[in-house]
Amino acid sequence: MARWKTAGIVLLAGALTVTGCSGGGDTGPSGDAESVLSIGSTTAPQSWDPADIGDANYKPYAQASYDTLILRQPDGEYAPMLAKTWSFSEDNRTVTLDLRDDVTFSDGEEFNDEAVVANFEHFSSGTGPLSTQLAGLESAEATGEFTVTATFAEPIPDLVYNLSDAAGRMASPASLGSDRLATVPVGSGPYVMSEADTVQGSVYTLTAREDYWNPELQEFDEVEFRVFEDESALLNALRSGQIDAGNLTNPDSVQNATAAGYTILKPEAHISWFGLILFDRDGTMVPELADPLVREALAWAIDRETLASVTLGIDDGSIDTQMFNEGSPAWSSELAGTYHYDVDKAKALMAEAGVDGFTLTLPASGLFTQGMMTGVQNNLAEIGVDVVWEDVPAQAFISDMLGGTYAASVMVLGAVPTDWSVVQNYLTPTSAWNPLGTTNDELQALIDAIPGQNDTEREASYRDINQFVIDNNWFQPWFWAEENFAVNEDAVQVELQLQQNVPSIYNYSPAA
Amino acid sequence: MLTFLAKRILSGLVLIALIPSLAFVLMRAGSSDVARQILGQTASEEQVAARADALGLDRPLVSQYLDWAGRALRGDLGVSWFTNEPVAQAMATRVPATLSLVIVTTIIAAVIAVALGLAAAYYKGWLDRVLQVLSIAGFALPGFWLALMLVVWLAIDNPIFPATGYASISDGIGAWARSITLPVTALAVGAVTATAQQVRGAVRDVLQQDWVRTLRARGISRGSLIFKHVLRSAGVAGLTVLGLQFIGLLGGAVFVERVFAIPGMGQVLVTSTAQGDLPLVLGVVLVTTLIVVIVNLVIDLGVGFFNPKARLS
Repeated sequence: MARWKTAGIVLLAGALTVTGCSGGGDTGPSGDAESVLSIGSTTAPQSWDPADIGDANYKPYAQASYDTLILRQPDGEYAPMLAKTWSFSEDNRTVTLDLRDDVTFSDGEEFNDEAVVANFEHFSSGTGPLSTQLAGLESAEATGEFTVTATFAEPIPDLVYNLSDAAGRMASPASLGSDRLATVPVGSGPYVMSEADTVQGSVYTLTAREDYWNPELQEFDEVEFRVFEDESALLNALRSGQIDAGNLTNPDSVQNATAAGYTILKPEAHISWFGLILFDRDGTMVPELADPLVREALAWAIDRETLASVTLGIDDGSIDTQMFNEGSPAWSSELAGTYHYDVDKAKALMAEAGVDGFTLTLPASGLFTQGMMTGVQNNLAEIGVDVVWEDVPAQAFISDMLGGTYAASVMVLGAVPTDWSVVQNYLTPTSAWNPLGTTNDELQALIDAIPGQNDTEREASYRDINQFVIDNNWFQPWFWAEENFAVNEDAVQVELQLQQNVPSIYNYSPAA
Repeated sequence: MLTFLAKRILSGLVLIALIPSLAFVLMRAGSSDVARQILGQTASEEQVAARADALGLDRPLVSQYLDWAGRALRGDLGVSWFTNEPVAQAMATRVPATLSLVIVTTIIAAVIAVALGLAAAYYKGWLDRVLQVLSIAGFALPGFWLALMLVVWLAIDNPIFPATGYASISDGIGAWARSITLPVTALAVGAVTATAQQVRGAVRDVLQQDWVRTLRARGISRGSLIFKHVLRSAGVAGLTVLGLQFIGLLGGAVFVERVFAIPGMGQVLVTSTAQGDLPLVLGVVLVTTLIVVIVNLVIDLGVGFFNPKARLS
């Protein structure tokens, strides 16, 4: 009996000792870093290969490890980064880049013209989500020491943007093609991954590179990305000081963060739009959809405000009929309310088209709340359109849509970074989101002209394309969801990035 | 005894082969577009097809499975389709996190449950009634809610413990213990009440046996009676339910992993299943099956220790 008592006392003492030894703080940032930036996210990079890192929420991950050829500043202006200068040929098909000669990668390899060529070839030959940023690359050559010339089959209107983004990220040539690059980045960027303190899919810790060539972009000793499957856990981490910032999508989380005194930044660029996509503009599946009056009637029949409320929960969406993001040259505040809920007008258009009603089969998805689906069904029923929701397995939803199975679909589409991306992804005959290959001579003429135009002419073309889409109702956005970026301003200061849903990593600085 | 062990090991091996096969079939049975999920909405059909081809998704299912099984036998569990991390490496970081939670919870549940169950069965009266009430409360309290409340009380309003995250033992025993205190507390409440009830019932049954009355009549001390004789006889029930708790916690810990953002097996299994990340799912299922087989073997050996009649040949 005495032995049991003794054992019990020893165990109890040990437990108290162990829990009392705090080891210097909570499970926050590691090591003895003086200044640490900790960012919470609900997304983790699927790969650290610069050719495979995605857009939007993935940008800060990439920026921490990789420099780009061109730097896009918070106001959208471009500045030199790894490329000191860049110039275009008269036909805009060839770009010449003069490179810095004082940069090395974290593995010691030199950054030079050969490195750029290797990266361009790696990027354009891959299947990464942004590989189209170098679409049509015909050749990339080292034409002089620290000079690269790249030629494309067609001019790329967004090439300067692309070289400030995914296409411009430079990894060490020695690492390209290595399986290891998928989990450990090897770039010339301001921070280097600490593998010992990194748990893939959970915590990514990067420490400041000692010999980094541009200390102005290196505000912290350490950057930590924490991934949360549950947004309430992200919010708890923010409230307990474990992270300094993070984006919130749940309206309740936003309210809680606001009530707790955290600053909620709302970037001008929204994250996604909800709306109706009318794939069958030629009426091959649903003949009535070939009539522009019928498509317009659908736009007038939808009660956008109510759908935004039942979908987003609070007044956290922008009612907007445009598929170009606010802040882009194509967007116009005057066009945001082109269509609004007007059943009488919708009915009049249907009557003018000589259509009493028709059946519209839409694929159902877990992306949509029941409230939204019911709302759409009821709204369209008022003008004689009988909506039939068809259950589709979640993992087949998008592929079935893009396979041309449906004449139309409700959808939530993530914002794409540039106006040319909007055109390429949605509006050309070969666009992924034009599965039935619909063409229009007027629209195609606008698209074809863009590569050869200057910036001012392109902006006008994008506005014309925006007007075309609104007039012809190929895509019917109802509302855009706001991005909500919560920041603990006692710990960090951050500047938003134009047309970006999350700030660039360079835009953070310590509060003190 | 050796024959008994051999039979158990053989049945365990069959399970280890069978369960991942079943998981493979279930994962691949539904129509899925993993390549599209990986590349995102804006990828073209050509890109999606190229990625699907690179992943071997259009090969016959049997061929895909045999390929995985062959590599698994050589210790190669493949690479996650979504994170590109070797599955074995992912398991190496996540298994310790989940096992930390489960093992510590089980130990705490065992100690507290045995003490409570024993006291309730031996002393009866108000102590027994209190245990009944506590058991009902423990079952009724939703674990997820309790976890969130613990975070608010003890991590945000009173920052004694971290709100999220996991520190491995290599980061220091103190940091590790602090990081698992709240999650283990959330898990232990249900485990303690379930186990205590079982121990109480088993001890009560044993105390009513004639041989216990005989031992008392012979003047054996209370401590010796309880710890040398009664607990040993009642140990089978307690050990069995603890074993079941342990196995249940392997999957049940997912909710605390989610609330506390602990990179454990449960969390990765939920995410990878939703994504269709087959290599990672199979890796988690394989490791989980292995742990379950081992735990069952340990329970059987323990039962054999407590009850010689169970040591079948």
